[in-house]
Amino acid sequence: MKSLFPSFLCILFILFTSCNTGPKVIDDLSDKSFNVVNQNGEPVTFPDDYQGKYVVVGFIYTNCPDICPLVTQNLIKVQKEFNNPDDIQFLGITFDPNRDTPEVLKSYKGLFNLDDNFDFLTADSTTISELMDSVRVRSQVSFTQVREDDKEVYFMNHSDKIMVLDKKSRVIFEYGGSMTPVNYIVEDLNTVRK
Amino acid sequence: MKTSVTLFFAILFFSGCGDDPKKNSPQKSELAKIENWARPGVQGQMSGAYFVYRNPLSIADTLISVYSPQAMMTQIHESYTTEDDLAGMREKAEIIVQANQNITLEQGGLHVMLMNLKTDLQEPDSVTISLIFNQAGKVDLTLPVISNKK
Ligand SMILES: [Cu+2]
Repeated sequence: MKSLFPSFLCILFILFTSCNTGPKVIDDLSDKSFNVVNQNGEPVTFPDDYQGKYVVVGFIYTNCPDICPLVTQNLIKVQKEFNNPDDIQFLGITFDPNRDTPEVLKSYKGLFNLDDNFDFLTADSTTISELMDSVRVRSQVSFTQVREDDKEVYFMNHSDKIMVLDKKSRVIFEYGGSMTPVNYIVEDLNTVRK
Repeated sequence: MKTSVTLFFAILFFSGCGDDPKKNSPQKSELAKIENWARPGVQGQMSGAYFVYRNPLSIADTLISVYSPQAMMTQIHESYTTEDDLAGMREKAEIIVQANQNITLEQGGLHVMLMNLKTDLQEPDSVTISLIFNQAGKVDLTLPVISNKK
């Protein structure tokens, strides 16, 4: 019977190491700090200012009328599923900072009827590209269109992504942004949110 | 004794600690029900519109252009995934529709791209678009603006 004691220790070890660590950390953003602004032009430090909350982030640009609204709508559905909780922050971060100024993001937010726990963020283009690199979101100009008023508009190819940060600013879940069934995100949040 | 201990270990390993399955695969079924509608939009910005058109003719037809008086420029676009797995969209120059078949524009696929809106679009506004077909000629549609579409 004595010989079972080491086995017992081993079992305890397994229990505490492999089962109780929660979801795998995909990226740790806690040592990162980006100076961005929200749609009201208020300075925000991402992700620091959101520590202590779960953060659900979608990546968008406002000149995208099809895929990006699907990303935003998915975030809205998650927020509704949880009945607009205070401990979950929702963010849309643009990868097109040249056009997506705070004013543009403010009108964009206005299209969706959103509360204070749902913000859109932008920054100078250097900060945005550093931020996007740190979360592995890629974007590039795909084509340029000359409009009837002779102005040029460009469109972008981009990563289609939603991610969830835990309260310590660690990325714990990632999804295809526009096509992911909302209940996947809700179920995952339920497993970590007590 | 040894066997039962080993077994216990094996059970521990394979029961409680499995990783969740990958959850990135697109699910088309999640997409919205098919309808005629347009997204809200801000003046000077973009919007998208969606519709289903059934070719009533007994011959194939081709949609060759689209026009809306509410936008400076209107095109048919297609959202697609690039070779390096990015989301993008591109112009669709024409769409062929067989006799008595449908053209379906829905979220995540084909859309009417309304560029540089002349005015804001909000509920309960609507958007008028004209579809130009080789055979059927001009077909006008009125699409209600719907926000937070399911
Ligand atoms: Cu488009």
